[in-house]
Amino acid sequence: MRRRDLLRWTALAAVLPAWSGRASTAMRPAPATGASRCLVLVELKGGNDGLNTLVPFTDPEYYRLRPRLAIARDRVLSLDDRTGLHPALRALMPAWEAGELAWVQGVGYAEPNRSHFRSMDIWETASDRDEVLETGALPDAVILGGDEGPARGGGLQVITLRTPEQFAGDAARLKALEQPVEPTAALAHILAVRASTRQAGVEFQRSLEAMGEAPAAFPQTAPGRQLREVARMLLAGMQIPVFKVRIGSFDTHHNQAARHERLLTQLAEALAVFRETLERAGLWDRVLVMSYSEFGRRVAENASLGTDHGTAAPHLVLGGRVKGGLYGDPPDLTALDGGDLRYTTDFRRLYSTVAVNWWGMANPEWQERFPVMGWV
Amino acid sequence: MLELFTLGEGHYDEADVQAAARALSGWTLDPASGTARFDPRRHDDGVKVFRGRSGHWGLDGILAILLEQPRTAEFVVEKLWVELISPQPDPAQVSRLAGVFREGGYAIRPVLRELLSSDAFWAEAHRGTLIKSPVELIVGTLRRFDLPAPPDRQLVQLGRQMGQDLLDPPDVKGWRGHMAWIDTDRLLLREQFLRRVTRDLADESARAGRDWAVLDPAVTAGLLWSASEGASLSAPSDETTGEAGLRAGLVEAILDPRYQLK
Repeated sequence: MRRRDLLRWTALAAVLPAWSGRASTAMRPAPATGASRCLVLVELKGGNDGLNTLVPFTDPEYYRLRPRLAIARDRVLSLDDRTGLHPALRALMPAWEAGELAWVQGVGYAEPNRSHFRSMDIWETASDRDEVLETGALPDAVILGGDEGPARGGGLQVITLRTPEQFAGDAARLKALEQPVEPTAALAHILAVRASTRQAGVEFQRSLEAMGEAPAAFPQTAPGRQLREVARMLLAGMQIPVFKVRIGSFDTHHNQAARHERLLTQLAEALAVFRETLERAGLWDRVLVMSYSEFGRRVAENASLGTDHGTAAPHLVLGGRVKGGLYGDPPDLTALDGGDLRYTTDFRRLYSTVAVNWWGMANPEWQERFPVMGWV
Repeated sequence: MLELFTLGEGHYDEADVQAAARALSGWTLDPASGTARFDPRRHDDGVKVFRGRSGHWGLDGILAILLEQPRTAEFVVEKLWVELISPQPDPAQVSRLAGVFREGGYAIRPVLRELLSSDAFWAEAHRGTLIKSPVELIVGTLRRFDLPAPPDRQLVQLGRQMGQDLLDPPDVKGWRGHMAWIDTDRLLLREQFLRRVTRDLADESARAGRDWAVLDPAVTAGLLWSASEGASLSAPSDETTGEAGLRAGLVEAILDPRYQLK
């Protein structure tokens, strides 16, 4: 297999052939084997500080490098004898105790790039650093909270919306158009978005009748509102393989403590209600929540009570079928690379695991390069 | 500063970033007045090597070196190009325009004049290759057709919903522009706005007895999408003659997806 092909296979778009090319609408009418399973991506925009999320509370280096920002040992929610959660993540503890929450430690990629923008490209297209791919990593997705992100690029059926009702109503007002002979790329893009909007609008309209209010009260926060809409669509039986929500900004260069705490609280509380809602509806086994962020932050705090762009970070995986626990090795705080963590888990192993273990799409050559993990 | 505003990614290295950071030390923001202030006691006055040049650089020294680099002018010209001409800057033309920009002491007017009178700007092949920003769509439409503008507050709100919150870009890189202006949510909002505007257009013109001569079919077509050949993408209108026909044609033209292009 040529290198380029290998790279293509590492993008989720390529490992979901059943969805990415064949069907023309964002809805999947026939739930085949894995098709009714969905992935909910949570973008932690801005670069989440991993060390203050999953805290190495017995590591003297952590407290030495973060004299003012470290989370005190007695505030940490212990997961094992040396690792614990930021106290703001308390709402996730029931999921942890139920064995439905996994943390993958030291997630990153080789030769990190500190640019938010280039780093997001790497994550979202699963490309190697020296190669910018045109197509995003996710096919046929519903985006809440704006910004297609991973779904950027041509050819993918992506719906960005605020609420399903508003979307269906507006889409129904689009008139049908003929296709011009030689559209410019810009016009082709507009027409493609228009066409998928009209098609999806029809499907949404159909599903709206089955859709009620979400039974539980979601918090009135950005992640709460977005996850509420995802829950409602799932409860209505809509077969959408990928959802993306967004929370941020985690770009905490200054006065990190209060903001980071607020964001993590919002995240945990929204995810907790999401879990309860889907569990009650019997859908929790079909949902996999996974976080991502462009990079972690530097190990040492800066002079502005914040942290700067760094490298590796832990990411969470949550769902009814998740095998809870800590996965991957925590980066060694005594073996830094110019003040940065050395990553221990290539982020593409997360995609690989989702593709193979969650959606049942095996690809031996590609699995050899990015071995699947055991969390699902 | 290096990645987004002067050289662009790939044209500097981590050592340059660190040297520039040291050169900028001592500069702080005065939150009360919103202005930058320099505190010499917090400045690192040591020798720094920036872009291969060694010296006791401070802010001015770093900026002077950046402005000497041909890449800086090219980077800015590329931004103008993808905003005004086409998504793919022509390296030879960029280099020529960057020369004008640099020699003019980085004044915007001369380079803009050169750019807007270039063959590339007027080339048929570049028509309709870019997508209007929300501000271009909203303000451009209201002004071009002399429509009664909704209150400013509503215009700002419209821009925000379409993804362009004035004076508040999503991050320091600014709006991504072009294709990113269109996703399902934003396209729906844009079309909704244009439908409302065309209703206003019809109403207002009927009331005010507008002079429709300026909107004869040829002018209308030229105004709206000189790139397009052939008929409108939408269904042909029944109204074909007189003022009513012009008005119908205009409404149709604005609602045509090609109106979203520039």
